Amino acid sequence: MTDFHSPEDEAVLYVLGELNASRRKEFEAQMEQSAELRALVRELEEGAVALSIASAPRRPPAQIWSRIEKEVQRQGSRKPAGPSVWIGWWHSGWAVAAASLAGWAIFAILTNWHGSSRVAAPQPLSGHETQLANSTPETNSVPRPAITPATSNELRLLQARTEEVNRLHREIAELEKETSQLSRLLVQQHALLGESNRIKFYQFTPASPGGEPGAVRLSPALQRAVFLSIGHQLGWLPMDTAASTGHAEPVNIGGVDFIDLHPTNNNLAVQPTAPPPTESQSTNLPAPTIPAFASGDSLIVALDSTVVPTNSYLTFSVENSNGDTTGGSIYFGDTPTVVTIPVPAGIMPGGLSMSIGSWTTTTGLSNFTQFLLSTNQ
Amino acid sequence: MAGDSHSLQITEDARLLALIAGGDQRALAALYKRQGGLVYSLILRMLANEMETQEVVQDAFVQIWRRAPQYDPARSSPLAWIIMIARGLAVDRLRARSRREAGHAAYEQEMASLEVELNGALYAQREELAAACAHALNRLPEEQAHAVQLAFLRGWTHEEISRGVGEPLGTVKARIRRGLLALRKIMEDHHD
Repeated sequence: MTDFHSPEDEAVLYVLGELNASRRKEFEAQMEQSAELRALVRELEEGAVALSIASAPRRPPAQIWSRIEKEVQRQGSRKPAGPSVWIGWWHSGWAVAAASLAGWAIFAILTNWHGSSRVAAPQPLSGHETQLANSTPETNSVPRPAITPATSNELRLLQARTEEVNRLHREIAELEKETSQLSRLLVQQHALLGESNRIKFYQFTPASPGGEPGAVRLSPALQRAVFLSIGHQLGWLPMDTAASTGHAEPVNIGGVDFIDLHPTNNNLAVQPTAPPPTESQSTNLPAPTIPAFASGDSLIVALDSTVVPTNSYLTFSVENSNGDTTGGSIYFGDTPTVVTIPVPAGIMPGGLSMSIGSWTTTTGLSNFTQFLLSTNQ
Repeated sequence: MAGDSHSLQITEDARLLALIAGGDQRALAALYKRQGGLVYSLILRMLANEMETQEVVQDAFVQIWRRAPQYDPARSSPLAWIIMIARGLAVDRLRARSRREAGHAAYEQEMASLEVELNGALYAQREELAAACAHALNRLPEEQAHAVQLAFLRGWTHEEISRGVGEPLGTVKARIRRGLLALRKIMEDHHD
């Protein structure tokens, strides 16, 4: 196989930084000779700029600029990276600490070396000699401090402190590693929240202060309806055409009615025969906790007789944290029912509230309760 | 007019780079204020790691500070020059990570993550030009958009993309070139 690339291919590789140093140099020489090639590179770069601009906008944390500013001030005038790194390091507090430690360490090594040589040749210096040695360094190439009980204590202290510093360094390294891992996880989780095809679970609980999130157990029928609807959504259960196209008639699958509200037909999936609701006729719904999940741009809510009255007309109004509202109405008999509510503006990860108005056909009484998104998703 | 505004933007960035080349730290601050968000968003999209992104953005602007005297307005636009510096540092990070098996599964996984980032929840927050660019990317033929993104944003080589997608190397090269040129054309049309 040859390693031949046309100048056009070479230009792409140049822009993408895939040429090695020598090929890059050759290509730059070619560019000097060819206005056409220069223009192509510029156009490719502009394409790359467009691709970069297409990234979702994010606000950089303030500390980035602080660090850039410090680094630039530290470098001051333009100097090669090598020395400036050392200058920067020296200016930091760690350098001072490290220098002190290094001094102590050299001192300790020399002292120990001196000590051990004295063991090999036990000729202790007299007080006079010690004084002489310290005061006239030209007679001794290495000054040798005397070992006194005080110095021994200092050495032990030094050893203990060195160990402590090493231990702290290890702990800091571990913490940095953990922080980095957590940060990576956070970014991944954040990205997943925006994923359109991921199922997110919610639990709607009453807006009233008395509401206890998660206090009510879901009935077996409701749990089954949720499981069926998840299977339905994931494609494990066959999708009925009528249900998926948003026809008003509920489709019963495995003892659960599936009703799709449709973006173009959200007024009423089934026209009610009962009178419109009035505020004064409000009573409490039987059970306060409604399970739901979001899939794509739809909210799927499971209902049964433990959470809404049977033989009633239900009007849904869903509002996301962006203030977008959507909804529709259905007739609820006595079969567990799964309702798909489209949220055209998309379901925001920040929060969701839903109100369900309910009124019965027999008495004409109406009941309104607002359910808010629980933090227990 | 969009075109005039675009020219002004380029002129201002070029002016700031010239000042930075002369050692003006306030000009660097101004340039960061103008383009720091874009660089940060791009690098975060490439690395999907907050800590690494912060380090790369910091390194990129320190490099801009040091390399500003080398900037040649005849060669590149200021923004392209800035982006290429930052992107190069990010690709170094990507390549320092454990080497991927550039098979079809890895290809699918990368494309899914890029799709989330491009069309995710923040789509609506883009400014006009950014929205136009995202829209343009969505309008490219799918294979072209995939190849361009893998090469530029994930640092995949042409050979790796060819293996991942199971198509000849020549096809992949042509796709990347055409994709980049098409994106540039759309941006140019937007400015006109």
